[in-house]
Amino acid sequence: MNTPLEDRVHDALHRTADPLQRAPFTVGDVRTRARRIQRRRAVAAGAAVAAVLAVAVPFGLTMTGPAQRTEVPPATQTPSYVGQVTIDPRSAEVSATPAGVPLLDLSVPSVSAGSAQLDLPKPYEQLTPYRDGWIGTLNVDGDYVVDVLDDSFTVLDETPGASPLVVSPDGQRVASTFDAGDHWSVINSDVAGEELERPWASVPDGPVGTVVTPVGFVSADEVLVSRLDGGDGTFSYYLADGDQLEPLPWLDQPTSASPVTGTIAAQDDSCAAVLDAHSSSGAALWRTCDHVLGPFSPDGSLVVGFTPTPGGDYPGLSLLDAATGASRVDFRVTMPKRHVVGIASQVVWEDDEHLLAVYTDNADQYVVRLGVDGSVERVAGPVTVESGEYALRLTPGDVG
Amino acid sequence: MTTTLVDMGTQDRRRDKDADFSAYMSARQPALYRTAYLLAGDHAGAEDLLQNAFAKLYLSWDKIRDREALDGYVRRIMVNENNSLWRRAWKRREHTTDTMPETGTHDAYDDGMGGQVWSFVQTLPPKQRAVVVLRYYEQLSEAEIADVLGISPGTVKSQASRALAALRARAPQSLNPHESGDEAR
Repeated sequence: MNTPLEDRVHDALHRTADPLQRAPFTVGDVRTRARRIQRRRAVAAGAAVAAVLAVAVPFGLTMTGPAQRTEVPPATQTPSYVGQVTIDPRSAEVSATPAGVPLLDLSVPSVSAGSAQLDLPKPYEQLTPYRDGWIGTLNVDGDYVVDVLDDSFTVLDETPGASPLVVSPDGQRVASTFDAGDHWSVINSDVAGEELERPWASVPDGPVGTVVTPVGFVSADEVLVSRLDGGDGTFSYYLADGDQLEPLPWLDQPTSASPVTGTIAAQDDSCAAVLDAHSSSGAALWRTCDHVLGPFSPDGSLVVGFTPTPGGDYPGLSLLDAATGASRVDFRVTMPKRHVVGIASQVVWEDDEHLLAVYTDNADQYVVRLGVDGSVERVAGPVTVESGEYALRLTPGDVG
Repeated sequence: MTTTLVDMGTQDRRRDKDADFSAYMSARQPALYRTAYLLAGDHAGAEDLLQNAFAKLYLSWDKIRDREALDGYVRRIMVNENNSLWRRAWKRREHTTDTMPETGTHDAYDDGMGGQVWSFVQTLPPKQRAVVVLRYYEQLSEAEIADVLGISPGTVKSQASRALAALRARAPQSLNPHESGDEAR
C-alpha cells in the first residue's frame, strides 16, 4: 500500500508519460544504429589487439645472460649512447621497488598499486588513480565502458560507448571520447579534480562506423584525437582544446604526443617522424625508418622506438632522444629456440628515466623496468597465461 | 550450389529475425518510449536512450531465449546509459537553455501538482530517479528493480527512501501532506 506522497509520485509520472504515444523509430533506424555499434566494437577490438602484444619469433639464436651490454657504442652515435642490452627477465635482478604505475593482472583480476595488491570486481584493462578513487576501462565484447570508481572499486558512474582512456605521461590528466549520438564528445580532465570542468569538444559524427579516439596530450589543454570515417575509411585528426576543434590536415597516423614539448610522433607507410603539433605545415623535426614510435617520456626528452621486423613484430625497443632521434640505448629480447618472445607495445614510462614493459616468453609474462642507463630489472612475474592471452597491463598513473 | 543454399539460409534467418524484432518493437516501442522519457527528461534524450537500447537488443536478439525478459533487457540498458556521469554532464552542457525542462503533457484533470512533482523528480540523482520511475511508473518490485539496476534489493530500498525524503524536503507544503505513512516506511 502506498503512502499519499507515493501516490502523488505515481500519478505525476503517469500524467507526464501516459499521453506520450511516440514510436519514433523504424526497424531500419535501429539496424543502422546497430551497425554503427557493431563497427565501433570491431574497430575498438582491432585497436586493442594491435596494442596488446608484438611478439618476436626467434630463429636459431641462443640464450644470453641478463642485461648484458653486448656492443661498444658506435662512433656515429651521440656520446651518451649506452649500447645494446639484452633483456632476460628470468635472470635479471628482481627489483625491491614495485611498479610506480598501476599494474593490472587480468587473470585475477587485481591491480598492484605500489606495494599493495588490490582485488578488482571486474577485469579492467586500464586503471589509473582519479579523484578519490580510480577511473578505468572495461572491454565488453569490444565495446569500451569507462567506469569512475571510489577507493573500494564501487562503480560511481559508467559511460558506455566510450573509447579507451589516454592518460598523460605524468599520469595527471585523462582524456576520453564517447559517442554522444549525433557527435563524439572529447573529455579532458585532471585526475586530482582541482580544476573546474572543462568544456567538451564535439567531433562531427559520420556514416555508420565512424569512431573518434584520443591519441595523446599535446599540452595540458589540447587533446589530439583521430576520427575514422565509417563511410570511406579515411582518418582525420584534430586538436581539441576545450570546446574548440582544430583540424590537422597535414597529420598522418599519429601514435603518441608529448604535452611538455608539444610534439607528435607519427607514422607513415614505412617510416616514423616527430612533428611540431603547432606547425602549420607539419614539417618533421626528424624522421626514422628504423623504428615505430611509441610514447614520450614524461619530460618529453625521450621517445620509445620499437624495432620493426618484416612481419611487423617488435623484437626490441630503443629509447630515442626525442629532439634528434638518436638512440640512447637499444634493448633486445632474448631469443631461445622454440620460444615465442616479445615485448608488448603497451609500454609505460614510470619516470623520466625508466620505462616499464611487459615481456612475454611463451606462456610466461613479466614486467621489466628498463633504464635509460641500460639497466634491466624484473618488477613482476612470471604470470602464466594461456597461449596468446595477455594478463599483465600497465596504465600511466602515479601510485608512488 | 552449396554457397547459394547457405546464403539463402542466412537470408531466411535474417528475415525471421527482422520480422520477430519488428513485431516486438511495434508492440513495445510506445511504452518503452514513455519510460525512456521519464528517465531522460526530454524527447531528444529519450530517443537517444531508446534507439541505443533497441540497437543493442537487435544485436543480441538471437542470444535472448526468454522473450519475457526483453523489456527488462531494454530497461536495463536505458537505465545504465542514463546513469552515466559523463553522459549526464554532456546533456547538462549541450542542452542548457533558458527555458524550463519539458514537463510532458498533462490531462485536464491535472491540478498542476503533477507537473510540479515531475519537476522535483527531475532534480533527483539519476539512480534515485531510476528507482522512482521503475517503482512508481513501471510498478516493478524491489527485486525486479534490483535485477534491472544490478544492485541489491536493500540498495533499491534505501535509494527509494532517499528519493522520497528528497521529494518530501523539496516539495511545497501543498504537495507534502503530513503523512505518517511515509515516515513509517
